[in-house]
Amino acid sequence: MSIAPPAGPITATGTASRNIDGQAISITVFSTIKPWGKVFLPILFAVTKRAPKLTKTLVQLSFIHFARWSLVKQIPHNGPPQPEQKLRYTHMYFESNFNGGWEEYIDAFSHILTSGMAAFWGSSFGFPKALPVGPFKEYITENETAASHYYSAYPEATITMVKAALEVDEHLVPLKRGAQNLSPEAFQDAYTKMLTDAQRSL
Amino acid sequence: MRTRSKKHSRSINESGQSSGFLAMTAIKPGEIDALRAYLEGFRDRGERPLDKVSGTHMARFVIVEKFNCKPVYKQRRAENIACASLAFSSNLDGSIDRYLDVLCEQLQPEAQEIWGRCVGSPATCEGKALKDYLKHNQIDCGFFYAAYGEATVPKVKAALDQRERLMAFATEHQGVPAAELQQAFIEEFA
Repeated sequence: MSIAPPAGPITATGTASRNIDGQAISITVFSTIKPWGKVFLPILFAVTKRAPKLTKTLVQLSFIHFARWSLVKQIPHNGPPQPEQKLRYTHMYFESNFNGGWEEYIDAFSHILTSGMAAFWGSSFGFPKALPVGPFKEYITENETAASHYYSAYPEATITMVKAALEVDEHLVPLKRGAQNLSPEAFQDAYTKMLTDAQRSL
Repeated sequence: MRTRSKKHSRSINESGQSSGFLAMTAIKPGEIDALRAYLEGFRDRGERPLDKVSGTHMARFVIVEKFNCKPVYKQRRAENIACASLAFSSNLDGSIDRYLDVLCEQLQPEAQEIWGRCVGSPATCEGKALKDYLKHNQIDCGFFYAAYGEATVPKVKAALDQRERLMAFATEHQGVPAAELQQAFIEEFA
């Protein structure tokens, strides 16, 4: 098996350049799950999906576009020359698409989602707890695999920009629809109100 | 090739209108370095092939060669991956089925260069044969989070552009008489 080359220079964001597309940064982590995690994690995932309040903090962090956790119980088999392999352990695939810096991302995860981190990674071999953050960063670094290619459809946009743009659109739609039917004075009032309402997102 | 049945739950891979897709395909022996060089070369060549696959918000190709294990982890036995694998993950609009239809049609000639280096891939990596292959190698989400899962890629791009235009418009039209303001707004946005 070949040895992976270094994942490109570490950038100011704290991660390899191949994990970056504009403002968007990728992180991909595999961890090996203890036997009890095979039972616990599916329950945790199901409960988290059905109780949006549990992801409230994730939403409030406001720098994660998309994230996912998957359990890899077997590597799909495609016939020879791929050997049939029955995995002894289940492995967890974690990916995140975020903006900001790698260090800040891990810091925020550790300090704000401390209990959530314990729930999601507590069954992973070697997980050192979210705090203190030093050992946790070391753990993530050890288990992270750099992307060979990473893509964002809107690389220059942070999640704050995306959310603001979608909020502006909500404010703008009624005025776009009604603009032609208003008197100039009524339009001006509606326009001023729209700008006032949308000001936080501009 | 066995493909996934419809009873296979869709919802675990969804958040709002968005879906998460992950496939792990074993790489043919001797092809790892070539595949890595090809994927890394996109950036060097200034190519963005996934621009062709509409509905892709964010995606990645990752070559997985090992599961990490250290003595300090107290894992009884280390586990090696028997065959290095290519993980392709995408955060996408709508259903995975429709997305794969687009990907398998539009990601040409790149799909052949990518999955053609993987074990068991169809001789011609396109269309239904490639779609079946990717679905066979799909790994479900356990938990999928999308911060703006109701917004499609076109919607996000249009909203970003519109916000920029509105900020410029508001700056340029300060103190403009009502009728002129209205006409300019209609021309710009309505």
